[in-house]
Order: sequence, then C-alpha cells, then structure tokens
Amino acid sequence: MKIRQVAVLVVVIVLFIISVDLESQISILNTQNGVWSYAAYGNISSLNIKVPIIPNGSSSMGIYSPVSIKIDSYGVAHIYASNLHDLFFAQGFYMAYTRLFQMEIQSLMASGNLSRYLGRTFLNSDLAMRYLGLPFNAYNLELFYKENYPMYYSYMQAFSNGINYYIEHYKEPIYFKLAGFSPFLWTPFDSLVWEEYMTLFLTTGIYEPLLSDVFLNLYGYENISRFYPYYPYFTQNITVIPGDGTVNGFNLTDENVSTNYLWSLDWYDHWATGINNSTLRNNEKLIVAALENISDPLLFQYRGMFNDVGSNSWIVDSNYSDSGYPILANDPHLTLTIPSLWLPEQLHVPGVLNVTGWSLAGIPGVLIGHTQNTSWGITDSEGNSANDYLEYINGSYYLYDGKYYQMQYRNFTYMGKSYSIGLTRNGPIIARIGHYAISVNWTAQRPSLVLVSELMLDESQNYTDMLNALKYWGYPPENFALVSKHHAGYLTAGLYPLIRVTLPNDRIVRVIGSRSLLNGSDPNYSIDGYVPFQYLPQVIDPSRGYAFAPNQPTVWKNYPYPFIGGFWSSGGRATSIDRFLQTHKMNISNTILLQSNLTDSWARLLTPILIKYLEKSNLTVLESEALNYLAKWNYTAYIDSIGMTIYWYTISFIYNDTFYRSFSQNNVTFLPLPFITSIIYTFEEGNFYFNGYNTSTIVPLAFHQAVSYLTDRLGSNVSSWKWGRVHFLFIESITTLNQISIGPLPFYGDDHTVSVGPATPLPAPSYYVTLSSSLREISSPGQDVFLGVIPGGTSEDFYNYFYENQFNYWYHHLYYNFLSISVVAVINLE
Amino acid sequence: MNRVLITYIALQILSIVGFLLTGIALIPIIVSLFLFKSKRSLSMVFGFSMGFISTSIPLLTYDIHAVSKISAFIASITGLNQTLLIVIYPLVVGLASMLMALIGSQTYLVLKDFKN
Repeated sequence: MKIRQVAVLVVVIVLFIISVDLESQISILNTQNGVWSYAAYGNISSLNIKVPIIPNGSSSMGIYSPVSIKIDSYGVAHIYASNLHDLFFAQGFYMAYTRLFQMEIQSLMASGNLSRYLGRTFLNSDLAMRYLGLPFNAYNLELFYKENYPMYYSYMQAFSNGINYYIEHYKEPIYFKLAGFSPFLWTPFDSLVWEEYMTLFLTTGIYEPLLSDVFLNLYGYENISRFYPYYPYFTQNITVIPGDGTVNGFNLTDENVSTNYLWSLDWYDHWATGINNSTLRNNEKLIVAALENISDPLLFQYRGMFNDVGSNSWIVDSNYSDSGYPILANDPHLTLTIPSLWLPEQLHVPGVLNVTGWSLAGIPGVLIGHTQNTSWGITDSEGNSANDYLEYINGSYYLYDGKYYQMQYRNFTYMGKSYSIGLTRNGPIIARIGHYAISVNWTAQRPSLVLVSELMLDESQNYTDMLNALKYWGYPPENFALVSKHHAGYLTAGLYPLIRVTLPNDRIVRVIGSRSLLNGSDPNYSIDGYVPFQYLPQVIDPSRGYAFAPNQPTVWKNYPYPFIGGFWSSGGRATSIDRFLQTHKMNISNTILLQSNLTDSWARLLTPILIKYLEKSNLTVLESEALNYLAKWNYTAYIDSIGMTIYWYTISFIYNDTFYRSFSQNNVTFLPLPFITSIIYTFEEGNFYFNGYNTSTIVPLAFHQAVSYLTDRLGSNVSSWKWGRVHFLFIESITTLNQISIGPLPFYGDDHTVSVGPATPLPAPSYYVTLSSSLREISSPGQDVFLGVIPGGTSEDFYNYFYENQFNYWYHHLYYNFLSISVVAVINLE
Repeated sequence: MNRVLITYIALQILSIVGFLLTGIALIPIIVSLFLFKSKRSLSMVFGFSMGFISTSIPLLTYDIHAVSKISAFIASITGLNQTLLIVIYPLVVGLASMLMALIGSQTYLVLKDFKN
C-alpha cells in the first residue's frame, strides 16, 4: 500500500515537472504579461505620464514644462507645448507610443543593419544600403548638424529623448515580443538615416542610366530613342511650369543654343558621355552587377527607368477658384504599408508654430501639411539628382584627368565577412570587374538642411516664408505645390547637379543629368555646380489660373538647363488633371471629384486605334462581344468596368508578346517596359515594329489572347468581366504577415488614372495594387479648409482601434476635417 | 467542509492577487500546495480552479475585441484554434496547480501512512 502511494506520488511529481516545463514554454501566452496583456491597449486611452522637469536649456532627458497630447476621434494627435524642445520631445514620445516597431525596422533597413536582428535573409538589402553609403551619409549629416546647426540638432536630440523615454519606461510593442528582440535606443542618426532612405526612394539618376544602358546595348539607339524618348510623347502642353521652359526670363535660346538642335542629338553618344559604344557594350556585366548590388529587395524595390507611377498635386489660384481663394490638392503615391509611412499630427507652440499635417514616422516635424495661412504638398520631380560614372581602376588607384589617384576605402565587417568599398572623387564604387568600376555621385553624399527647410515650412505664415524655407531644401528635388491665403504656385526645390557639355557644334551647355554612364576619369563630365535657386523651375499665380505636377516633365524644352536626365512619367494623370481643370472653375467639391477621377486618358487615345485594327480582323462570336464592350467603354477604371478589363489585358498581351518576351530571351526582365504613350505614338505613326511584330499583326493577336485568357479566368460571360474581379488592392503589413495586412480588396484605377491603382502591364491572373495614394490632402487656407486621409490609421498595433480606422474613408474617397476636433483621449506629460 | 472552503477561498484570493501583481504563474501553483489537508479529489478540483481562475482573471480585464484580434492573429500564424489559444495557458497552469495540490495531499497521505 505504501509503495503504491509512493509510486503515485512519483508519477504525479513527474507529471507536475512536465506541466511546469510546458508552462514556461508557452509563457508568451501568459495572461498577465504575455501577448494577451497587449489587449489592454486596444484603444489609445488617456494617460498621465511623469516626465522629469529639467531647467530651460538643459539637454538632459526631460521637458521644461508640461505638454498635452490630445487625440481626436480620427486618431490625429494634437500636441500642445510651450516651447520647441518640449514639442519635439512629446512628438518623439508619441511616435514611439504609436509606431516604435515601424520606426526601428525602418532605421535598421536604412542603415543596413536588418540582418543583425532578423537574419541573413536581409543581407542583400543591407549591403545595398552600405554600397550606396546611406549610413555614412547620415553619420556625416549628424556631425554637420551638431557642429553647424546646434539648435536644430538639439531638436533632434529632444525628439530622440522622447522616443527613448518611452522605450525605457513603457511596454515594448507586441512585434518585438514576437520577433524576439528588444528595441534599441534612438539617436538623431536614426532619424537622419531614414530621411536618407526616403531620399533614395525619390532620387532619379542612380538606377535609370544603368537600365537605360542595358537597353541601349541590346537594342540600339534607334529603339531607345523611339520607345524611351527624352520627353514622353504627348507632353508638350502639360509641363509643371506652363510655357516653353523660360524661368524668370531666362531660357536656352538666350544661351544661343537651338532647342530643336539640342533635342535632336544623340545624348548617348561619346561626345555626351565620354564613353564610346563598344566600351559600354563590353561593360554590360558590370552594369548588371551594379544594378544587383544596389537593388533593395525589401519594401521599395529598385525603381525602373521611366517609372510610370508617382504622385499628384495641383494648385488653383484665386482667380480660378469659385471662392476667390487658392486651393491645393496633393496625394503622394508611395508603396503602401500598414502602418502607413505617415502619421497625422498637429504641432502647436503658441506664438511660434501651429502646423497640422503628416509626419514621416521617425522624423521630427510635419513634412506635408498646413499652417493657418499656408499649405504645401510634394510630388517627385523625376529629374536627375544623381549621376553614375564609369571609372578606370588600376589596383587601388583610379584614373582622373590623366593621372592615377589612390582610392579611399570604407571598410567594415558585417555578418562575419569583411567588406571594403572604394571611393573615387565621384563617389562610392558600387560594382567592379577588372579594370572598370561604376561609382555613384549623388547629392545626398553632401550634407543638406532638409530638416531645417521642413521646420521653416512648419513655421511659415505667407508665400515668401515658404519660398525662403525651400532655399534650404537640398535633396531630393521635389515639386512643391505652395498655397497661401492669396497666392498659389510651384517651386521645384532642391539641388540639380550640372554637367558642362560641349555639343557637336562646339556650343557649351550645362545640362541636368545623363541618360547613360558618364566617363569618371574625364573632368569634362564632372559635376559643375548646381542650378541656381532663381532658375529652379517655378511659377506663382499662373496666368491660366492653375498648375499641376503629377511627375510629368517639369519644364519644356527651352529650359536653360536641359533635363537630359529627366526620367518623367508618361503624363497620363497630368493630361486628365489638365482636361478637368480646363473645363471647371474650381471649388472644394470638384477638387475632391478630381482627386477621385478614374479616367484613363491614354486609353482614350489608344482604344480607337485598337478598335480600328480589330474591326478589320476575323473575330469569333465571343471576341465580337468583347469588342462591343470595348467600343462602348468610356475609358474609366471603376470596379465594375468591363471595358477596362478587356483593354488592360489586351495591352498586357501586346507588351508580353513584344518587349517582355524579348527581355526574357535576353535575361533582362528587370528592364522597364516602355510607356503606353510610346506604343500609342508608334501605332499612330505606323512605325511600331519590335520582336517581329508590327501594329497590324500584334493588335489582333493580343486581343485574341486577352479574350481567350479572360474566358479561362472568368468564364465566357463577358458581362461578368469586371475590373474588380482581377484588380485588387493589397496593403502589406511591415511584418509581411498577411493576417494583419489589408486586402486583397477589389480596387479601381490603373497607372494613368488620377486616383491611381497601378497594375503591371503584363498578363496576370490578378493584378495586385501595392502602390497608391499614401495620403490625400485638400486645403485652402483662405477658406479655412483642411481635409485629409491616409490608407490606414495612426497605431501600428493590429489590435488597436486606430490601426486602420481611416482606411475605409480613404478607400471610398472620403476625408476627415482637420479643424473638426473631437478629443477622445489626452496624454499629459508632466 | 466549511473550513476547507474558507481555506480554498482565502488561498484563491491570495493567488489571484499574487498573479495579478507579478504575472508569475508559480504563485497559484505553489499556493495550491496548501490544499494538502483536503481530500485528494477535492484538492485536485480546488488546485485546478486555483491555477485556472487566477490566470483567467486578467483576460476579463482586457478589451474583448483586442483579445479576439490577437488570438485570431496568433491562430493564423500557428494554425492553432483561436479559443484554445486563449484558454491553453490557464489550462496548463490549472493542470500544474492541480498536480501540485495532488502532490501536497499525496505527500500528506504518505507521511501520515509512514507515521502510522
């Protein structure tokens, strides 16, 4: 009996040990301090936070006076402080409270350190950032601020202190628990390196000339000039700055250079680049290696040449507005993520600053927004602010102006391997094979005061203040839409590096960028200054009453500094905006209408051509039915549009049979497909021929393939071939976990509609839109109208009410009113 | 019986408070040991409820929608049932507490046996 009792006891003890071990293994599910405890933060709730009160001027951890953060029902934080130091401390604290994981991942990604935390999968991305020098640039920039602009540096420090106060005193976000690492302490470097990353994403001139050279080597000058013209076809009257390119009375003709002559030249030729065609061809492997080395396989894949997605903005001056007050609209198109890149906030210091808008998570201040008297928006200008150079290398020496110079090196050990990145006077070497190498000269390699510019915009009270603020904007060059109570205009602000080129007729002209690699050893192709501020593309109160900047050519051909490296979008959205603005005197309602416009202006040109060729062809009954839908289509890309589906698959097969197939055969599928305008133009001119096809052979074939493909995918009932059945929105979580991503949801739009929903123009079972309006802004300071929305919410926590609370508004083209505040929670720092 | 119940209630309160304050699951488990004087079957029931209730109480204080979203998320990445995920921790701690209570009462019995 005793033995049995003892045996039972032993068994129970063994079972007990097993159960305790099991408990420790599932401790992440502990109901008090495991993952469930995050459910206590399902809503952003009122908090009183004890923060050390420090003496004025001290840079210690703490604030000088209490700060109040009021959170409204849309999740927008309104931060009220009595001085800028406390304001930025509170902004940092609030960003950490809502977006800490996002910020830290972004900083790790930009500084090339993801692998350290998340494993070797991210090694290519990390090395790309290091080759391009992002962490080195950010480090230098931090030193520059510290030494030359200590006041602004102190704001960054206060911002970092706010983040770190949160890290040290509050619960780390759930993602850290799941990923298995703890947050690191933030420094100004982390803000600056993310700024560098965003700059890289918006920089033109690093990837484009390399891609352009790959195409040139394979298909020759005739094809590149026909399919990738310097200015996309049909863009003459839709430039950002109206007119022929004259800015402040200065133009190319004044320089005694004929525009017709200049733009008829072969800018890939030896005189323009210092490199002959055979050298370029012999270095094809080097060019591809460079592209591979600097391609970020993560969030923002490398941008293609002539990227046809971008952003929208337009301004209407007081004469063209119903109310007599200017109006501004802006929606920057970026890769959509959840949480959003943007965080809506109001920053308020009495008598100093009162700005509302959107901040980039991890960077102090408000980047896009409005004060009571001013408002501004941003679109990418797509003109080169970087140039690639072919370098001649001998051992550790590079050739320049006939002499060899010792390279400098950036040496580092990463993930157990040593790396050494050489530097020539042009910039870091991104690839090297034998005696040749490619280096990148990029404006971001020199310190620039973007943050100063941003904070000055945040303090602006009139149009002149905004212009003065933008004198400090270095990179990347951006089209700034500017509106005050009585004025409206554009300024393309930023540093455009110039190259002095001697034309074949011996005239000398300073140009922006190149279409191709430049000779790094020849001083003639080195950077020779920057476009002076007074001659940057700009317009105030345009005489026609409006201007717009959805990434189309910034200026026309008589601009005094020709944009040879102008890799603009095809202008489809610009054409739609122009058409609308021409025919409507504007008010807030039709500004909203225009921001949600779903007309594809290029389809309006191409569809009649397709129909013309199809009517001559032998069609099956089903094809005839599809053609009827296409003929009746009004060129809009609504979810229920059938014509859109048939149109898009037809052009997808046109691209597939011609360019994409040829690219595949040559192993260069990374090359971007030519603009649809190049297809339209060559179809119209009757000189389309590529990969063995011409217009009369490719159109019927592509249409036949499209109908057959759609029948297989969607059935033989043509009336059910709705765009929303094949075109979906997918907003991926930064964790890449589908469970907390948004979508796939039926989605409207295409590459060329103002409300954009870009789809790859290649046949696919379903098109997934991953890039669209990252925020929408409509404002009119004169009317006290400030509307906005983002495709997500303010919190990064998927279980939080504010995770995606604005998404449905965004999806349905609705807005919240920044001035209508209903406070739902208050966070007091005291 | 009343004394047993009162002891149980007092220990239960102790373990709830201890767990809420520290989040340490060993508290209800160890507290269960003090049920050793109860009958074996009763100590098992009380022991289980000691661990289960103590570790379930925090869940009731959270936003139910947030709990549901977190469980749906973890369920989707682990492939486990959503409800099971919520209750598995209290169940395991309940089991451990039950076994602890059983160890207590069994040891008590064995020692009493040896004494006799």
